[in-house]
Amino acid sequence: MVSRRPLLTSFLCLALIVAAFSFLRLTKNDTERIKRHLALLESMVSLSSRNTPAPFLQKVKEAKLLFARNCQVIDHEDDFTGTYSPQALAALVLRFQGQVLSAKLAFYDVKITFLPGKREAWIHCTARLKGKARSQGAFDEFRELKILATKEQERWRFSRFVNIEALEK
Amino acid sequence: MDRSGYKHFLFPKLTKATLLRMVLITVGAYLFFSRVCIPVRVDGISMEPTYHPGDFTFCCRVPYFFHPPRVGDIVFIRMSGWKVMYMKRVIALPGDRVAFRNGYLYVNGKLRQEDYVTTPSNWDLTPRKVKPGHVYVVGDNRKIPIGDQVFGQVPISRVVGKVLW
Repeated sequence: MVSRRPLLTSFLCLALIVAAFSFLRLTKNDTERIKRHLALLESMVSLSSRNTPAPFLQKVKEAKLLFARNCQVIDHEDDFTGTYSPQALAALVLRFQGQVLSAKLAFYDVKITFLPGKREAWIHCTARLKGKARSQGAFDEFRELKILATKEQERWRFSRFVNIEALEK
Repeated sequence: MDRSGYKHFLFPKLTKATLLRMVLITVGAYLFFSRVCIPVRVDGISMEPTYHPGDFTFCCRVPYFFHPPRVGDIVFIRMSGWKVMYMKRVIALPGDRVAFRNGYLYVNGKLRQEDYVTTPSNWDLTPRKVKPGHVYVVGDNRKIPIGDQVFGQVPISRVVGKVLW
């Protein structure tokens, strides 16, 4: 009679490998999707000196893909705290782009932590906004952010932005 | 070293020992420059005139393995990671009271001489106590209006290291 032990062990090993591989693949996919989303946010806010701000309707279209219907902003430093619709955020971006000659938003040190259920994820990152304003010249600002991304209809959307105060005056 | 010696030094035979040495040097260098002594390029004017934009230095973590930050140390403060960090000077330790009057720094009610500040300043800040486990950090450039300069107390756990030079 053939012993079942090695057969069972190899089956278990195979199952474990498949489970680990699928877990990694799923996690990576969502991680990549969120990173791509951050890249879209970068390009939505950034403005090259050669380009003019995009029309409002296009910005709203971009914002609807990026932000949840009610996106919460918690900011201790500036007076931006509140809940915004994608339209309101698009208007904010356009108003900002109207005040600058060029701007570049970039995210650094991005760490993504998925919450149980994998429908929400916290993104911990450092945002850098660098450019040239029409009135005050060059600007270069850093903010440490915690962004909550929520999965809505199989699409990730940013639903909360929290500005973390690293240094407290 | 003669010609063949140089050749042997630069292009050694690929033996097991050579490969092992190469791997060890690569891993060692990676760990050293990513964990112990991190290369940093200064970007921004908050530490002028001590450091200018474009200056190059290292963030050395070794000193803080043995003792906490000290007054006068120029330290690096992490944000969400180590790619972008604040570079500031420690001016007060836990429990100290910090204030600015007419651009002069007062710690525990006493005027602190700051030789590294060369520009006149009009900073005014009401006294505040540094929390336990925190240090108070400020940039050397006090020409920047107080509202535009990023400074304040920060948990010691956020201090990554100090400048090497």
